Amino acid sequence: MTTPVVVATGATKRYGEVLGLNGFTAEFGPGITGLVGPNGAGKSTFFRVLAGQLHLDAGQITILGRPSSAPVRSNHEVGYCPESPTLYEWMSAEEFLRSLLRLDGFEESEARRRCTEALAQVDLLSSRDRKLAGFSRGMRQRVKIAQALAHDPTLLLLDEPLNALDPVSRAHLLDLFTRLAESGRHIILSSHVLYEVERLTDQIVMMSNGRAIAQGDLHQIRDLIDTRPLTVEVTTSDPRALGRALAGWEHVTDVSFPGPDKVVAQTRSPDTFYRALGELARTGDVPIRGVRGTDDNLEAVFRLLAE
Amino acid sequence: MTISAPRYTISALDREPRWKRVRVIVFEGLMRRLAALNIVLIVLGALIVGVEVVLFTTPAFVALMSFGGPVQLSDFAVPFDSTPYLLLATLLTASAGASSIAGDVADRSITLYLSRPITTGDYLVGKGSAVGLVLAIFFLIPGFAACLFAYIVGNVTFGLAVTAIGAFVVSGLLMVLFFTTLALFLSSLTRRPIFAGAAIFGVLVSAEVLAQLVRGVTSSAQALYLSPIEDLLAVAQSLFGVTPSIGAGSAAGVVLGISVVGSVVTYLRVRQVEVVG
Amino acid sequence: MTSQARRLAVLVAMTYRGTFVGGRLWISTLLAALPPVILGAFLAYGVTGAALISGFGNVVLLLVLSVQLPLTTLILGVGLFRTEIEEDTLPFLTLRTIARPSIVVGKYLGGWAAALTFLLPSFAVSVGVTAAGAQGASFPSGDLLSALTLVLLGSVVYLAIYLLMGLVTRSAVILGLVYAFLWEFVLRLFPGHIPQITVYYYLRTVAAELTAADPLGSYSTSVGLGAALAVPLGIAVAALVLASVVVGYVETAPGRADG
Repeated sequence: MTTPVVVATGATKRYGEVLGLNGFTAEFGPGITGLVGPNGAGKSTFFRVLAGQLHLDAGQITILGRPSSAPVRSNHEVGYCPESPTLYEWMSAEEFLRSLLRLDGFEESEARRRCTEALAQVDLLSSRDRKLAGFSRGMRQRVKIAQALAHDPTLLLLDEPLNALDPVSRAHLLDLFTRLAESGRHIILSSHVLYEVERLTDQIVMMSNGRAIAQGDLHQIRDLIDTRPLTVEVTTSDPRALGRALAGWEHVTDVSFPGPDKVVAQTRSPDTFYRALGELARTGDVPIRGVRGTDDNLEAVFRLLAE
Repeated sequence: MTISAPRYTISALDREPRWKRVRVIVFEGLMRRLAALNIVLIVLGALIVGVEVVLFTTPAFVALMSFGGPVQLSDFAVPFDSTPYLLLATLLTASAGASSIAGDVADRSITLYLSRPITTGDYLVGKGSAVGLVLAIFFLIPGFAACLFAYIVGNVTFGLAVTAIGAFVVSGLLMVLFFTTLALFLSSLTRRPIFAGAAIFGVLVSAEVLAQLVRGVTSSAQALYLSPIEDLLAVAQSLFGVTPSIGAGSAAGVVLGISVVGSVVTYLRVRQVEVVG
Repeated sequence: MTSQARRLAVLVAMTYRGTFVGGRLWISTLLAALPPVILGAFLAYGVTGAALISGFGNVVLLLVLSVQLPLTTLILGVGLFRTEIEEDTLPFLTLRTIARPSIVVGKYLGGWAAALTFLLPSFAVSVGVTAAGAQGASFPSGDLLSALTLVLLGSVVYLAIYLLMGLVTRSAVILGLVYAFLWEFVLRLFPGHIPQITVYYYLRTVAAELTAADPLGSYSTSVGLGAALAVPLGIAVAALVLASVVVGYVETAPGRADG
């Protein structure tokens, strides 16, 4: 049984009358965990509590076995990339990273080395001497990630790290996050780009209104939502025949025809449906060209749970 | 086979007139500026004006202080000799005016304003009107109310009350114009309201101290022209029938001149504003 | 790994450098230019000798102590934390392995160094202009020490007070202006013991104890030099200790800045 990296138990944080976290209870395991939720769900609030920027009003959160309010010595183990784009504008990227590394206690030479390495990891070496005031949103995002990585933390907290990034930078950083996880680091990241979170990890914690509404493996979460039928789209050259066949299956609750070569069915029992569909395809009675589960993905699961 | 492109027509968009769009900026700015701190400053100022005017227009008190004699127009000018009142006015200008443009640049909402079908001038008029309305509440209403009260309780004649009200209104409007222009100008120079607020205070207090210092060294009252506060006081005192230390006409010219130049520079400055990042 | 002291030095350097940008730079430079410019204007007007030296004393009291010092320390002091909180850059510091009280000390020392960068040259040039126009007259004994002590001690205590204000409230600038120009300005005019609740009282006392010459030396006071030095320093230390406690509880959240 793997030891959770972060454990939240009944975590509550109020902003006046607004609940940022509302008895948030979840466990974040090793590796990469995606934290997803609509705007205002409490993701940034949670990150800020983890980063020690906010204090809980109730409940507790432990990070790597220690309370989130632990003394500063443990900050070495945590790297935080905040959502806000503001930096120390008068500094260059190198000065910014080097200063923060020196504040972390690294000697000058070690700070320079780590700075170079971190900037290389986020592909900003060529801009190291430029003032941060002249950085674009995407470059600022990469600098923030670099300062979170530079001191080699065990746990990375990345709040919307893919914001404002172009597709090439996104792909580059997704690879970087994967490599970091493979090297033993733990990453908790939030994103609205759900298919990219899905690309990185199956481990998800879903938030809404300050609460955890689901956590675990994405597909397991989907399977647990047995009150909502699974939607499957089948591509076929004979939609009428297929539709007749599907309508006769007792676990199929709805059949529709969105296009000239497509049939969309809703089924209460995905396993039974796929077995039966496979059998139908094998008999050749109905030509089947493609099958796609339209809501067996993070976005669909998220929509189902958040409604 | 021929292809003919579809024809499109642009339907006319019914827009509100420009003054209504500017009015939106005014109301938004006014609502934002009626915050607790500004209300406290206004109330304190109103108390000072109210208490002093009522006291100094009470015949028994005036007779006691002046060793005889009826209430005169000059008795209404007492608040303008009050250091706390002038400091409160400066504080309110800093509090209400510092973020007028600087705040919009800082949170980038200036791009939202200026991307609308309004001109830079419209934007500045809207912003200035919002600040000006707050200052007008401070400078005009307490004096007006105090004069009215003095008349209602029978301490002064109708003619005297009306004249005093007129003096409060004219001097108040000049002060509103000057302080609003100063606030907008200094707010346009920075994207940090904190610096704009300190600058507003710094400019006014520094000028006053400088004027007093120069006057002390040169023994010339003309040095007081250096201070906009002294210029405004001279105009106000003149309107209330008090002989000021410097010429009221010249002082009014200095204040108006600074206001006009300040407005022009603010306009040019806002046109140059770049929001980066 | 370097010690907390070295990390402190890094923060002092960061804070010092970060002061010389934008509005802070321009306003502080303008304030620094005021005393030498006004003394130069006196000189150009024909005020020389002992009159100019007396004018120097008046400039120190009326301009430096009452306007330049409070405003310079206000702009620099309030911004030390308030700017970081409002721009959400404070997490970059608090997430480092530097103790939060050390962050307060580092910010303060960096801010004080920056304040002195404006105040000391201004003082030196003012002395220079006055000396240039002294025409044989010399500064009274203790006058320069008195004025310099005012600047140094005043910057120490006012900066600490404004740093604390910037940490606890988002209305720090207005509060600071109220403090500087209502509390300090007005209360010192009251009779009796009331002026003793202003920092100005102790600064003037220190000045009066260090020189006998007018105007710096003429101030009616009932405390000695020791108390007059101890009280402002004590206030500064208390403000920094309080700030060190408060910084541990400061919360930063986008759109929900503390204060």
